[in-house]
Amino acid sequence: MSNFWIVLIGALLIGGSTSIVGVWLVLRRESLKGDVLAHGVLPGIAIAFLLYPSKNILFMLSGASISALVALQTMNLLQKYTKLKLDTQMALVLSFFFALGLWLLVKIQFLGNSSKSGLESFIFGKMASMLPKDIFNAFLVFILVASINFLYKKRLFWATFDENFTKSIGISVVFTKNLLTIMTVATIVVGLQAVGIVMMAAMLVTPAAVATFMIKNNLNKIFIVSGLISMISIFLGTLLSYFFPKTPTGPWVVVICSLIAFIVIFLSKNIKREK
Amino acid sequence: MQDFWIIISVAFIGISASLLGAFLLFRKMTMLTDAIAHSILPGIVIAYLLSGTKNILLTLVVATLFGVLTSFLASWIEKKIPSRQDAATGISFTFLFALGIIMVTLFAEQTDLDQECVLFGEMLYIPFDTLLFNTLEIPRAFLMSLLVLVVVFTFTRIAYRYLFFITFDSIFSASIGISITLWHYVHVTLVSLVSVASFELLGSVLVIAMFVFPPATAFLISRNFFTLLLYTLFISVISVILGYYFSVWQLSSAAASIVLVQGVIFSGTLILHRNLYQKTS
Repeated sequence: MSNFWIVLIGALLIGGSTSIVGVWLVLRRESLKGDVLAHGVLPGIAIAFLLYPSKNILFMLSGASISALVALQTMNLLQKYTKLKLDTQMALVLSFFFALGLWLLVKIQFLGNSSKSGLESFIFGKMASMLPKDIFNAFLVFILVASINFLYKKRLFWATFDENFTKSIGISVVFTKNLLTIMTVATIVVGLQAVGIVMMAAMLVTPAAVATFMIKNNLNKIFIVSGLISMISIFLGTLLSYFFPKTPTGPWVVVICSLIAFIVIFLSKNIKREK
Repeated sequence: MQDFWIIISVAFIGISASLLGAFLLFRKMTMLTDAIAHSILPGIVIAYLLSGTKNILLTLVVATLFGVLTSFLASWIEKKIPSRQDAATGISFTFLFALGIIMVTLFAEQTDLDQECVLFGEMLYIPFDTLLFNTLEIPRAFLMSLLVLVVVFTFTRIAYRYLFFITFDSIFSASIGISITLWHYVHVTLVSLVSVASFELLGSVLVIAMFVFPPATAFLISRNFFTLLLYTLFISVISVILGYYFSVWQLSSAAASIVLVQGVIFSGTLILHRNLYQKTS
């Protein structure tokens, strides 16, 4: 039972970070960028493992962050030097980085490293393998994300909705964007081992999208609703994965979360009709 | 001979994918392939469970339906959440993929699918799964990719004009009575058909590279749509051949190697073209 609580607390901390970051991504219409960054960390993890093959979590996390930043920078370069549209830039960067990561992982397996097992958990996630150490990392990231969000909410808000206004009152848009990038990368990196790449994208998008859909006029309420949705789905998902012991936790969380989203979106039609 | 079968099967898929990808590129819908490539997973598992063995036709049909379902779901959500296309796509495909992963782990015994073949596909097993025609052994996967290629070519031949119109001027095409919804779904159906075939051979995430890299590379150097298509086909075949031999040489995943080669071709083209262009102009 103690393992259950460790998993639950860790997942809730990760969910707290994703629901905050996700709201900004959805409001900025960049929610697929979370997906790209989640795929973009894979080469970094593989290279970190090649350089220092002991699965030291700090080493891997820094590799992952560097790799995500390189992916983001590649997108900026494509933006600058080609006329390709944003979706194509994302598709190119996502598939190339993920392929590079997979290529390196297969290479590592061919090299016959004994401790290679567990690298795949970055792709599909393995919530059950969470240790108290991981919870500590998740807690640190949650504090980081929450405090950045608390301190810079106004700036993020202005930069999201009116860049010209932001510039005119003397706040750097680039700085604000970098803040958001730091929040996103930290969240993805710490959550990746628990929920996996694709599920990470879901945790970033779905609760936030539902929250922004339900509430239009109050940013604080959006954060609260987004957090509540992700917490409910994490709780139910973790429970379900304990009922079906063979199945991983991450997908269950995503399924519950999407079901909540579908119900909310489905009901919204009826509410509008009654009016 | 084994190399030949692998290369030709994957090249056929590559050609079909990049042909459709060229239209996707201009319709700003390339991330849809990412969504479709993930969400066909439950379809593949269901096809396994229905037939008990590996039945390519059933897999193609059922999984293609799931691909189209993603597009439906995304446009349904988009109607409710206006102008949030990215979020709509994100919600729908992650849901289906999560469902697929749960099904894969739940029915792992019945389906001989596992998480590894979701990632890497079964490209290297192409020559070992064969059908006998008189004395000629032909790999199943080759027949599948030939079928996909024929279907895609026929449909693109018929629909070229309509796809071209809805891609470049949707208002005009609506005004002369071309149904955008109809041809959109024809396009999406073909995309998911190719995605399913490509998923079987290459694994989930690398599907998107087959759709996007060749047209994006051709986009850098071509001046009209027809030359873009020609370059696209050429690049996709070249990258499959080079990628395969790169993987043989370096002993790593063949699918990932193909994408790496595509990435190198893309960046090489970008750098060369920029330098040449700036010198002449």
